[in-house]
Amino acid sequence: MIVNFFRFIDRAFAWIVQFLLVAILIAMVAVTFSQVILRNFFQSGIDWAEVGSRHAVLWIAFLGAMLATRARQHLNIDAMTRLLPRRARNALRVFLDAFAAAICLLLAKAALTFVMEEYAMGGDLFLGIKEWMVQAIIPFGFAMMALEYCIGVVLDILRIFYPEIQRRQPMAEGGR
Amino acid sequence: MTWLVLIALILCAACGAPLFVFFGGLALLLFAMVGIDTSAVIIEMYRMASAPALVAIPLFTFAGYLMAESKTPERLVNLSRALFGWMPGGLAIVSLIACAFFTAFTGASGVTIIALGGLLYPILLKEKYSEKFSLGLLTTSGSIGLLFPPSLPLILYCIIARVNVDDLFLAGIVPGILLIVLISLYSIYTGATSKVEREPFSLQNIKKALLDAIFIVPLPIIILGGIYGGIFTASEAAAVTVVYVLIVELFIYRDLKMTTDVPRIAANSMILVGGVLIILGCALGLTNYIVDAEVPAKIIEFMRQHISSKFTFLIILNLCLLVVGCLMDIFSAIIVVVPLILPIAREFGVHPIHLGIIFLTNLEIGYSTPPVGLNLFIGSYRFKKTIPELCRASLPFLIVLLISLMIITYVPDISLWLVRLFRGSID
Repeated sequence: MIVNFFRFIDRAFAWIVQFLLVAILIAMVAVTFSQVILRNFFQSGIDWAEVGSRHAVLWIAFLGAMLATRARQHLNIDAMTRLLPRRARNALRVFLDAFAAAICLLLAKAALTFVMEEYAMGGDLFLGIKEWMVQAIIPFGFAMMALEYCIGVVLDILRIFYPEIQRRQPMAEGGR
Repeated sequence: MTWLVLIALILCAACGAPLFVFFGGLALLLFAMVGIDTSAVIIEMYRMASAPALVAIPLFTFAGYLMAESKTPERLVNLSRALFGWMPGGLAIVSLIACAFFTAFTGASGVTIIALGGLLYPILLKEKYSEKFSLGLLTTSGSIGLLFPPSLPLILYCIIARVNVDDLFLAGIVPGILLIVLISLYSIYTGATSKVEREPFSLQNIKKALLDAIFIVPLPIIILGGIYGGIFTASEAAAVTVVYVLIVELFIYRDLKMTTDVPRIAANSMILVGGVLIILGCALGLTNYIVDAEVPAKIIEFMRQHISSKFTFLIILNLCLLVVGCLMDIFSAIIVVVPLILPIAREFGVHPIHLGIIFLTNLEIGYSTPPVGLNLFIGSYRFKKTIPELCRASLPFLIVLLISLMIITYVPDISLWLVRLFRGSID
């Protein structure tokens, strides 16, 4: 069934994002830690360590936000939604997801313009990596978040007619 | 048209739209309004990659989550029980210290109540603390270590206010201890009047618990010693912490498994970090607009006409921040409100470091106040109690916290003397 196909894509994609996230985090720890050891014991260092980890944070921010979108764990003011009855809350969710998708799409468009300009300038960052390559995560991240919210809208509307479509289980229990 | 969109944005945020969507949308709208290409919003967002201190946030949070998921909470509770369990109200003090440690590392994201609340609540009840006292204590303890390094809100404030992280780390220590001491006094009083059970003092127990937790205890000393001994920066300290915690939990205690637990915890902790940083990114464009539009200058102008003394300013500041703390989560509040009040506070002679401590103490109180106090929601989920029940239970603790807030606000030296001691003079 088509829903199962989407579910497969969704899981595979979440797995890739998670894998990238963990890899970048571990790499950041390794590089920063080696920097401390090299400086204090060998009077040397990695000259791109700081630039590298600062940009790793940018990627972590967007990959983490993508996962947060998927798990609907973004920080928000949820006092109102807690007070609403279930049906009203579901209706509101469709509306808010559509709204979030629209804003994310606009941000993705703005980010694309930004990255295109940076691409034209072509600045080097470190180890031959160009600035625009690292910045590309911004439009990509926003586009993926917009897509995720769109899927949420479609599934929520489908659920009105086919109540048997299950709500996706959150990947794991987070802090919130 | 602009006004319509603005009202729609505010309505959506109030109804529970993600805050990054609100800030991002607002930034897009404001830039479009003055005719600047919206890609300027992204230029500001990209400034995220130029703040060296930001590196510390994912790393410290990761280390904190690793510890929270291991048996470290038990070890810490056992140790502080052996050390303080013999005092009247001793177990309450145990809870405070263990919670403070975890909040400092996990950034007051509710992990403390999840990791420690379930552990401490039955023990408190077993030793005849009243249900109301135990609930109130654990609910407010969820944010009690906020002022201690290396907490995430401290680092975030430094980035927004452009304050040296090392200075704010020092500044938070004494006010943080003050909060714990005052709540401890209240707990001792409760413990003494309600005749709770105490444990016998035993050097044997202390030795056993200390040996069990011997690898966790030195962690704060390694971090602070490394930073103030000039061995590494705050961000590098975060990487050292992760490596240290990984070695301890994977190879010494073997509480966690490398292939299953570590990736899961990493991804989980980065959901929180990503959520905070994306708000930061979206709000950077907004703050830039606010500064460009000279909003703070206009507020200063207005306040100069109505407020004359630093004292009145501090009272108003506290009142405003308490309202902010009731309505917003701490991360968004820091990102949005700090750029607004920083120039105003400077105008009234409040040092940015002192302002940071006032700000965070205020918001720490906001964690346990309705309608959006995160501690209340997580506590209600964890202890299976209703929100009004938890509100009533945390009320006495809120009063103690408010008294501490007054002291911290009106005696700047509590926040500043340790900085002066270690750093010489501060500007």
